[in-house]
Amino acid sequence: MGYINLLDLIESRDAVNKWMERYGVRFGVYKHGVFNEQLFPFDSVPRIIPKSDWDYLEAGLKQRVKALNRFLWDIYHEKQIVKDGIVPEEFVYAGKGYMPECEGVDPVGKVYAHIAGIDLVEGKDGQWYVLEDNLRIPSGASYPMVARELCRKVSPQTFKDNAVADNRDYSDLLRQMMNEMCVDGGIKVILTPGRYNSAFFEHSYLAEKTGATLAYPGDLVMEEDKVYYIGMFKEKVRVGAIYRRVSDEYMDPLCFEAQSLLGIPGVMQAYKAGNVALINAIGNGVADDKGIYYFVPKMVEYYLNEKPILQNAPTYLPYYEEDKDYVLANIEKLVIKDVSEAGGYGVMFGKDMDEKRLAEMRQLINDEPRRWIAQEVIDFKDLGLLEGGEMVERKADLRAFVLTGKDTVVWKSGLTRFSRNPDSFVVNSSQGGGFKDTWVMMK
Amino acid sequence: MATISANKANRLFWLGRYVQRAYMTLHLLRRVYDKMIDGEPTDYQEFWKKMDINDNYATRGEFTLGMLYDEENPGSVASSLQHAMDNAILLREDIKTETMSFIEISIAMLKKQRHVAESNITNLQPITDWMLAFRGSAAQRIEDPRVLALLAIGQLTEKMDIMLRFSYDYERIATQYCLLKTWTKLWPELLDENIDRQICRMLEPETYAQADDNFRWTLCKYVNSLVMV
Repeated sequence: MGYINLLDLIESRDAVNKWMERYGVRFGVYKHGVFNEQLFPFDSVPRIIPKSDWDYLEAGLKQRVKALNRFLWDIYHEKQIVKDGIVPEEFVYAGKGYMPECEGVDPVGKVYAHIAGIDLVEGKDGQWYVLEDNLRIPSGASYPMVARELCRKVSPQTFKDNAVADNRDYSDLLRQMMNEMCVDGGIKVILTPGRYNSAFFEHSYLAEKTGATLAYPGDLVMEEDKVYYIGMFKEKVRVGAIYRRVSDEYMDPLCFEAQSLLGIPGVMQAYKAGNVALINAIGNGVADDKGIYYFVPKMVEYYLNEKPILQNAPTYLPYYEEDKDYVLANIEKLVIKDVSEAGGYGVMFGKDMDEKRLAEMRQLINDEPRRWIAQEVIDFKDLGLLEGGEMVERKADLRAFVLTGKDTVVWKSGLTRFSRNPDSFVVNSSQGGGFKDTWVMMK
Repeated sequence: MATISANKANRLFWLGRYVQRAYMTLHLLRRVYDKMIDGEPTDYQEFWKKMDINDNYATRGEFTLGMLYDEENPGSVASSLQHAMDNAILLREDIKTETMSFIEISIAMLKKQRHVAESNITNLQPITDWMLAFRGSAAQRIEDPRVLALLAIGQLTEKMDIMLRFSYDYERIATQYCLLKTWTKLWPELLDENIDRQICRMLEPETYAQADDNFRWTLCKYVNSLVMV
């Protein structure tokens, strides 16, 4: 990679942030039960991925998501991978993500994970590792999309001088995938829980950019196994695809959480009848459980008969005696994750625990080995960012977005999240992290 | 063209109303301000009576601050803009980010100006400009004419309401009504026919010529009940 001059872009950071404020680029946070919207701190120094790295990542991401989609189909149909002893059944059926209601359901095109958000980190040695697969409602693509639009506006020369893949096509990829999944020429909707959802900006922005209708709870009804959008004069318009940003358990009060006001009563019936596509499918949580993560490279070999291109972070499952012994003996140098938590919660570093806490942790692992995984702490590459006019280095990850319709495609960008705390590995926006644009170089 | 839900129609109508209210309030405040330059220091009182605002501001300074920045005062510019934003934020995909941004920057400016000790309404000229830009952006960017119509119907309803409160000339009010009816051609079901007939009767030149305050208040009430969203 040649010399890249970012000076103009870096100096334009305040201008970009002002535009973001003007465009209402925010995310919501609940703190002590109170909802607040805040700006997502943006750093203008991009993560730059050389073409050779991207070619490797792209191939690996496609392969991984294809295997995960095959796994989901298998789990809700033949369960061959369990029968063949590749994945223990405890990891499939005991997890919160497994939905017995999805047994035997055939989603349109056999696709479950239409939008996959795969979290990766780059080690200091240049090796990329997958940290997590997000197959339910991965969020965040809108932020680098809008950031790029604004960076190009305030610093055009930067993009004239550097051959960066244009990432503003995310909405085109999404639209195309929704079109491919859409049933019987119905309309495409994005179902949002509403304004007080932390990702509401993204829901409305993606609706604007894809041309889909943004639907709120109550806008959609199910009748005779079909879903309709209700117009102001009670007219009904058939819905063919729902990109739902509502969690599985709230999607259908007749099937899951009976108290839910966010979903569509009876939508599962329409879905089972093949009359509407749900994007992503219900029940995907069974494949992005932190415990199942361990088995994804095995899935690649099992379903695709290929060597996995991407590596997992070295992971131990206390469920296996051998791994448990290792974890208990080395806990102080490992990171321990509660498989039932998400969003950066339930992540504990052995190095940060005192003797008492370590003893408690060992006990918890002994008591409930299925609940925990342990990973080696990856010394991942810090990225430079501007803080108070100075360049500092912080931990950062990359969420890559993989879309599957008729084909599987990887968006040539991603959400780079960074920790604002110099001692922290936790990059989640809900915990104060910021974001960067992700440049994929064309040459 | 996608179907418009009842909630969306309601939000579009009220977005139009609140944007118009912010614009008109600033416009009328400038007139009051001008009047007070060499008029009576209590000239402002007539304004808040016409706007039907309960707060009784004791001084001209309090009045100015209250009408511009007090979010608790439903007639203030701050309140109108915030309500406009509350609707706009739910309509991004229809009105587009760029259109919304004019409300966003108006609110940001108002918040900034609130802390300027010597607040002069002239400093808020950009907000007037941005409210006009909002309309222009909406006209340029909104692809569905029915969405544009609902916004325009809201704006014209609010405009008529305020013009009647401030006793504008017959011709100007009749023109707004004519415009409003033109926009409703896309949504004839939206109009309450009985109310429409009443308004038409009251807006006969000879009838309106006899108008007193009570007549205008009645007409104002009809205007506010005309559109069913």
